[in-house]
Amino acid sequence: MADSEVFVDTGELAPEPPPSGAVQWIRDNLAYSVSSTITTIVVGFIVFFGLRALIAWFLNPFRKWSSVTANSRLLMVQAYPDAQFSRVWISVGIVVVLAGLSAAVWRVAGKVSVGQVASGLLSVGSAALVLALLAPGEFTGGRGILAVSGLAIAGAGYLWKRAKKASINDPVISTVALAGFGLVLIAVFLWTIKLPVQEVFADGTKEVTSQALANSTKVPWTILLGVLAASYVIGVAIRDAVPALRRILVGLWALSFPAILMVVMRAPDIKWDTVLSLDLPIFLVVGAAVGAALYVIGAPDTGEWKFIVSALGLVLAILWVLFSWYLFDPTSTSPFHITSSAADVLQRLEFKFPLILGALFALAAPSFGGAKAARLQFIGVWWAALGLLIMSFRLGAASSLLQLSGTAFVGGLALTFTLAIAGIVLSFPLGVLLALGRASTMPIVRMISTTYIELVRSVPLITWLYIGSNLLNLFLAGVVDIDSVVRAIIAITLFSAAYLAENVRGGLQSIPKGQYEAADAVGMSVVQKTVLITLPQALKAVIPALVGQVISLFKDTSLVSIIGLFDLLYIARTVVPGQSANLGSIMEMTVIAAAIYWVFTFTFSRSSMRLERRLGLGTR
Amino acid sequence: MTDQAIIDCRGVKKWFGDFQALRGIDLQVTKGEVVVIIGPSGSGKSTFIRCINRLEVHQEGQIFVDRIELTNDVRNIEAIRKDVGMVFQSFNLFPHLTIMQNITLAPIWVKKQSKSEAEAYGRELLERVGIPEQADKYPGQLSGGQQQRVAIARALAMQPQIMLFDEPTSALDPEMVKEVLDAMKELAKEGMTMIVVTHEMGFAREVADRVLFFDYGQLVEAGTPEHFFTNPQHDRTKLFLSQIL
Amino acid sequence: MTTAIQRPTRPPFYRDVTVLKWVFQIAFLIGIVTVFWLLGTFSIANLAKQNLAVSWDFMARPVGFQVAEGFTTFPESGFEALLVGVTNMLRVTISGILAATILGIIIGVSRLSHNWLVNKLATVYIETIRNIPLLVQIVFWGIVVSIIPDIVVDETSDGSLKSLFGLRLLPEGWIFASPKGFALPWFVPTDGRWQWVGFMIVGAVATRYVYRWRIRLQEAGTAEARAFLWSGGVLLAFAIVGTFAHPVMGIFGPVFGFVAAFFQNTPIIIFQIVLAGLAVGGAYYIIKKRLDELRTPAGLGKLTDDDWFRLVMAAVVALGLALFFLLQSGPVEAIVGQGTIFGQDIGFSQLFTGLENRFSFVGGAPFDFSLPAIDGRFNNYLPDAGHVITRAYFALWIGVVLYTAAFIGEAVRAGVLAVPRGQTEAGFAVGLRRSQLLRMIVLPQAFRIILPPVGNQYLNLAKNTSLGIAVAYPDIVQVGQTIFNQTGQTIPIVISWMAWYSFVSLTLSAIVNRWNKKLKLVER
Repeated sequence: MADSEVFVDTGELAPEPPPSGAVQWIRDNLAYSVSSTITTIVVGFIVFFGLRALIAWFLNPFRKWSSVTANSRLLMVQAYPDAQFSRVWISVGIVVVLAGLSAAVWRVAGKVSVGQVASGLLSVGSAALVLALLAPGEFTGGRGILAVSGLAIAGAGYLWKRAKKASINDPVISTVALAGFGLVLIAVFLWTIKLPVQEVFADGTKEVTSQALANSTKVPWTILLGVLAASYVIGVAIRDAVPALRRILVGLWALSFPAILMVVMRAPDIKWDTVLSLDLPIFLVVGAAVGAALYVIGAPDTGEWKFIVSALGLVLAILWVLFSWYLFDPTSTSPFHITSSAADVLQRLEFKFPLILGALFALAAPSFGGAKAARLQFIGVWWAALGLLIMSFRLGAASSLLQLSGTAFVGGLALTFTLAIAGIVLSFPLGVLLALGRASTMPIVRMISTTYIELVRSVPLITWLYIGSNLLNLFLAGVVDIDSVVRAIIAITLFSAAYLAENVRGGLQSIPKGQYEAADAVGMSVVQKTVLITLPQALKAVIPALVGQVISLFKDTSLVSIIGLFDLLYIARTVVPGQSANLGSIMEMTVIAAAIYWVFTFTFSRSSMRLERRLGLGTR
Repeated sequence: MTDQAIIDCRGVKKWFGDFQALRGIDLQVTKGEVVVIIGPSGSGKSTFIRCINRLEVHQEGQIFVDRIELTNDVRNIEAIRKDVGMVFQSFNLFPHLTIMQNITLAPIWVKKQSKSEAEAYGRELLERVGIPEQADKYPGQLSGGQQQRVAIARALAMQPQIMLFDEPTSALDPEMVKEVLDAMKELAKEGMTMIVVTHEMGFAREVADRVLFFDYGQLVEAGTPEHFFTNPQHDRTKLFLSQIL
Repeated sequence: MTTAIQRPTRPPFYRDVTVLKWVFQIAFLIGIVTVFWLLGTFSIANLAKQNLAVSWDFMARPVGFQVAEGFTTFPESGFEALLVGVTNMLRVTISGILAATILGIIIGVSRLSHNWLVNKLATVYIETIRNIPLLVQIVFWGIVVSIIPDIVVDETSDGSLKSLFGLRLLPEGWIFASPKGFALPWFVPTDGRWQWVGFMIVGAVATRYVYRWRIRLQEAGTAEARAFLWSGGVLLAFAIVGTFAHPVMGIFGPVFGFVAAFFQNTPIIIFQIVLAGLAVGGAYYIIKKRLDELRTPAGLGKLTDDDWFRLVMAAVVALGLALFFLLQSGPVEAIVGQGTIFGQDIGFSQLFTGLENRFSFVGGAPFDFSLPAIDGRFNNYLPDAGHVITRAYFALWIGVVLYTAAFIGEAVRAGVLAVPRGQTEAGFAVGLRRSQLLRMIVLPQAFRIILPPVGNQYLNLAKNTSLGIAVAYPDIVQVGQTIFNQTGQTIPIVISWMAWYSFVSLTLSAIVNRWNKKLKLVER
């Protein structure tokens, strides 16, 4: 081209699709060099034989899978009384309703392109096909069905993909529609699937037959699926009308756990006359007295005396709790000088803890009081906290109406969840306090917090569980018998608080110094700075780490099987293989337990990744 | 003069380790005065104004703000911080709160105003700094200049008698400097007592009642802008001015 | 313009920031101490009710149980039983860390592979292993060992493994597999091994110098370094020569003997004074350093309350230690080896006497090649023949290795991905080959990012070995649990656990931190 010539491209080039096709894909991903080809072949052989051996093991007729199906209830909720089983369904129902509403309110629904759906079908179908082809000889009946259905699904996916490629626009489907379709599919499965069930006859012989699911399983699950769909629809309908719905739901989620654990599942035997003669008076008298005090202390500009009075009040309340037994009976060496049940002890402490709580509120009152409206709001929070405290005392002291073996808590997967959620919820306040202590400018507080955190973290959980199960009883031996599950919860809480503290500290360190200076410059107090500025930012920054901790805590709860609690692993590993009908099923049961853990952990970690993306964290 | 001084500093000294940041500063500021502090970086000018609301603790000497002495006394610190507003170089807005919440946070929790009262005043302030429409956005959604104007409004929301500005325009893109300076000029016109650490010589010349030159932790020269920019006396002042002008 | 400076007026104490801060801290400390005092009082009272007093006597007394494996299976005292637990824990931890590191790097690199199959396989591995509780995996491997003979062992033979999937592998009697575990041929250390180890320590020092020498040559531009090749060669040479020449190290025997005698015969008061002096001197050094940092031209009047607290703390701790050493001769005697602790002779003197005995011995090869053997009556492996991997050891080891490798793999991947792309491009731009690029640019940078999380995983691995209790592996937790089931002495056992695990954690994190710091220095 000569210098003077001007080049103008008038034609517009259409974008060309990148080179594609199966051969190209293999060349790009499996055989891009000699060494990669060799690797592919070697690894391919290993994968092929490994998969084949795995499938052979699963489908081997000698496998005692019937021990799993026969004991599915035991794995989930141990020996929950049949007559009361509706309580289990109600508990699941509460979670399902909240999940449906939350899905609607947080707008998880999205769009997915048809192409993606088609690709999904293609890979699912191919996987089924591969499975059918790999399966060893004994597996004759199912192979054909699996192969045909796999081929059909894969083919449908492929054709759909081709059709989509031909059309120019990229149509999308709502994920809600897909999820609805999935729900229907699950319902259909529930009513058609057949599982091996074993019958043991009087003469000791066994017979394994295929049976449809019992009505007591499939009817409730079908209803629950319906409830899930319905609550989502309701959520969609009301989410714009009720703006505070997100906050309400967060509160409901927080309340749902204690409600399920202490009320629904446990069926507490509440003595209503005690409630009327003791709880209600405490609630009204202490509530009103402290409320009035808060109203006065919270008034703006009443001088420093309010700090001094509330601090003295706190010290006195704590001293009273610790030493009242000594003041009233100097000969006694223990706060619980009469041999008493946990319920009695709780009863006696019921007076005292509200006072400590009240003193704490009084200390915070100058920071959060102020104009009349603010003070009244603060007093409202006080009444709510007091109510929750007294309610938890009452529920904790009440015995269960259920006849459960050994402990007041249900075993199985339900126990696994109980331990994990209780551990994380209870360790949260302690962990945050420890983190603040470690980041504090006060050397003694910092030293104590650091020592606690480092000591707890350097010693493995199993030793803490032993300490919980042996030392806790030693401190109170013969005086009050703490339930073994409660002891495990205490140990897990103390353990998990140290890890949580480190996570929160990470969040605290991520806050720039300027934030503190800005808060100081407008004259905020230490408490205000912490509650209004520091913690909200720190906690938001560490949400992914906290979810990670929930996941590892969920896995760690399996350790309680070592100290003999009936959690999922203990039932799978010890209880079921010990049944005479299921001798020798330990491998099957362990694999199933692993699979159950895997499903939940995998789901959690995937959702936490999604959450992380949504919060825009992890990207710089 | 001392009797009307709203800020009265006597022999203020401060060390960081063995580095002496302030070597005995004496300064009286009267009500309604606009004082601009200039000086090379590391000359102690930021440290000095941060001592005035006790973000840094001075080690020797005395500081009186509105005749209240800055000591370890909780009550005095509280009172002075309510009286002194501060605007930072890097804005330091609270990223988890909306603009309106940023502005009303301190009035509600520290000054114990009612929420409606605080919000009404907050709206007025946003109007004054020229961004009334941003009230419900978060700081991250605003430009630097807008953020700094919100920071000014946040400081004003406590109805302080004195405003401290710590290099308010240094972190801004050039095209945003003017909007912030305009807001500050407006404030000066209304009779606010201001101490401004800045490198904006135009601002100093136009608005300041007095210009102070700091170097090596000392107050080297003080005077009216006219004196300062036309007839500086001290060698170091001359050198500094020749470098930046 | 200047006005007279008065002394600042002091506020009333209840409004003074510093006073309030310290009042709160002291109240907090009193509260914590009170709670612990109460707990202590209760437990002592409750133990007294059960006719039990907290005592460490079990450490010296014989225990009535047998330990499943370890350097001795019939410990003579509680202390020795715990020591067996400690060594068993260390055995799994050290070999586990080595194996998990290698496997973890393989997994991490596979995750980055362009090969679809390798990449997916590594992903499936990580997602499977990470999401199943380690305890379940350990239990699973325990069960696998108990059924493995059904799969691989030729039933007609003596129980040794000859063929795998129909492939004839090894001569009969070389590898055994049974529900009790595995047994392999191994180099069994004999008495000469101590001298050989001593020889190798000298070799390691020599290797270090050779490595530096090669690097210096490379930097001077006179030769290509091949530092790894050289130092590896030197170490190998030492290993081979040492196999024959190790009795040379016998000359160290008398040296150790002299040191032992010194510890044994010097009057104890001298050690007491030296230790007390060390405590005071250390505190003096710390305080002086701190004061030098804080010294200002205006003198030391500028100390904040925090500074005062630190200085006073250091002085108080040092004086306390010094007084303790001077007034209590017992612990000092135990440390130097003139007295006993828990009825055990384990001081410096005994340590050097032991070394003397082991080094003065002149003779035999350091290692013997030995084949596994079976005790005919009980079908047990003979512990001294070949290398026996018990079922419990194998289940725990493979469990922690596979589990930790998944996490290390993720850390490696994250570390390599964190090296900016521009670094690779810059490396290519200056003409480095792909292998050089990896070795010189990517890996050193990735290593810095990888090290902290991997160090954390090492710590987790060490703690996770405590799960061996599920398959009855006799580590310190399992042994301790057996002891307190027998004696009821929960509190001393718990204290031993805490002391041991804190020690392990502190040591491991000190090593990792040191390494980390070294890498950071290289960066500058």
